[in-house]
Amino acid sequence: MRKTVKILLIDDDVDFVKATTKVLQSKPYEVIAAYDGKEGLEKARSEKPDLVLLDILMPKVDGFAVADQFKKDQALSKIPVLALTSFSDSYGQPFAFEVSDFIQKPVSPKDLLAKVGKHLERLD
Amino acid sequence: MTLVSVGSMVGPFTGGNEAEWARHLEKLLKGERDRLMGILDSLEEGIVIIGRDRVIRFMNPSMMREFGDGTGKCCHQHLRDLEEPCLDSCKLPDVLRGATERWEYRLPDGRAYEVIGSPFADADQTPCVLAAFRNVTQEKQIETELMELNQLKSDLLSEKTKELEQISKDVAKLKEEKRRIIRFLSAITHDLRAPLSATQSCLWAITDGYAGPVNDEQRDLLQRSTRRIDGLLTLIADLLDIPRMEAGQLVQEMKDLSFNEVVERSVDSVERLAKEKNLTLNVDLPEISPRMCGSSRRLQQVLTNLLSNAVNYTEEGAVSVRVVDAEHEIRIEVWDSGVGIPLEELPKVFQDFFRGSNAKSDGTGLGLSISRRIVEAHGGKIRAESPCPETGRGSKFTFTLPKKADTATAVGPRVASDTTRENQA
Repeated sequence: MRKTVKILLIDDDVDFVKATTKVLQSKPYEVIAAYDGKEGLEKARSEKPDLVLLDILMPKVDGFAVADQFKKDQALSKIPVLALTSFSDSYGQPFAFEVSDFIQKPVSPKDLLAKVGKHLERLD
Repeated sequence: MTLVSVGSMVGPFTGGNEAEWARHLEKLLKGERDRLMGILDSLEEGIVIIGRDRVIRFMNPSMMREFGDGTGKCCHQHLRDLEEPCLDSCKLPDVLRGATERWEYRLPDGRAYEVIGSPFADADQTPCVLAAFRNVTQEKQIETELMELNQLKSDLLSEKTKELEQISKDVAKLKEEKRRIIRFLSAITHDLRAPLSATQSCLWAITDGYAGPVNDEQRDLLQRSTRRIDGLLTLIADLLDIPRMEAGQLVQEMKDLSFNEVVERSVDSVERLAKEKNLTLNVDLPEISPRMCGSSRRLQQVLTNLLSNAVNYTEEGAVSVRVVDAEHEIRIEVWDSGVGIPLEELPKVFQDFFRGSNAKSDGTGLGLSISRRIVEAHGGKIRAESPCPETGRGSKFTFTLPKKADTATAVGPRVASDTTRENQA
């Protein structure tokens, strides 16, 4: 059995992070929050999370750039990245970057836990 | 021309007395003169001999035909109808000095001549000018017309080129404007939705008990809040969908798709609600899923919209969906046993913001108008009937999708007028 699962949540919306952390903590998940892309990458390298939830539209380094860095970095490339998208992000065009899955905001606690659970299962 | 050659024509002198010799010579000379006159007569060019005093000494018949007999008159008076010699342009002095000159000669009536003037010694040995006039009026006219035509052609060409340049500039400007609007709307939508979305996440976390126990009364109030926020999020999404679709963005999403899957996913999304309301959900799909070119996400949006409307407005009975695979098109029918739509409201149901008298409180009045835009962007048509002709109750929505979508004609402002006609029909 795995020990506590580490989830890195990268999102600039403090309120969303707070609510999502509450939901994720209902499971044996340790949630690490990062509030921009740069901080997210730093924490990904230092904390070595099992899974990353990544917001797309963020100031400074956005989700696209973070996802690119994950793909390039050997230590990070195996970590599943679930992109958190808003309705307006894609604007009908497919995302031109590689992530494991997409989660459209707002997401109900049930759907969020289901998606996260599904991707963690694959790791075992 | 020499006498010998004329002699050959007259025949050789075979001998005789002086009188006979004179007659022979006379005959020879007459032959010579006749031949020369014959040549001058039959020449198409006009020949004129002008003396140093500018008096016309000779004109051949062709010259007379062109200008009338002017023998003995001054050349400038006869040929140019001028009182004084035209000293500036007159070539006669040059020719009299021994040069052969060519010039063009135009008359006010449009006649044009090419003239070659050569020095010539007349019978009395006075230096004269021998000028040959060739009538080139027709050639010049054709030349002029050709030049005019060419000018017209290049004028037209440059005009059209300019127009084209302007049009492509306008198009580029419009495209840029469209992009700007979409970027702007996208930014606004994000800013409007982000706080709502965060609020929704917080409320959901509380409602579902992730922040501690919630009693029934609290849950009811929280659920009311989340429903309202949900409505607001949908409204913002719907509002943004319209300019997106009018910007023709949908075409970019179109690809080959299997239609049954689109229907199945839409049915999935309303299944839970139908079950909660104890409604039967009938799904009738062709055995082989029809394929078409389209946006699966958007077509799913249409079907989900029609199905959730049907479920929402039906309290008992069934909601049915049937897909018919016809030769060139796919026909999709969604019908229910619900409240239906009043006859006078039927033509308006696809208009923006239309809310029927039976409408429920949540809803933006944009769902069907967006569905209509999506169907039309695929080159299809949508219509509503109430009551459903087959069952005599509820309502029925039918839309068709060509298997090969003619998307080029389907997007943009034309859509609106087409629909008006459709609605009135």
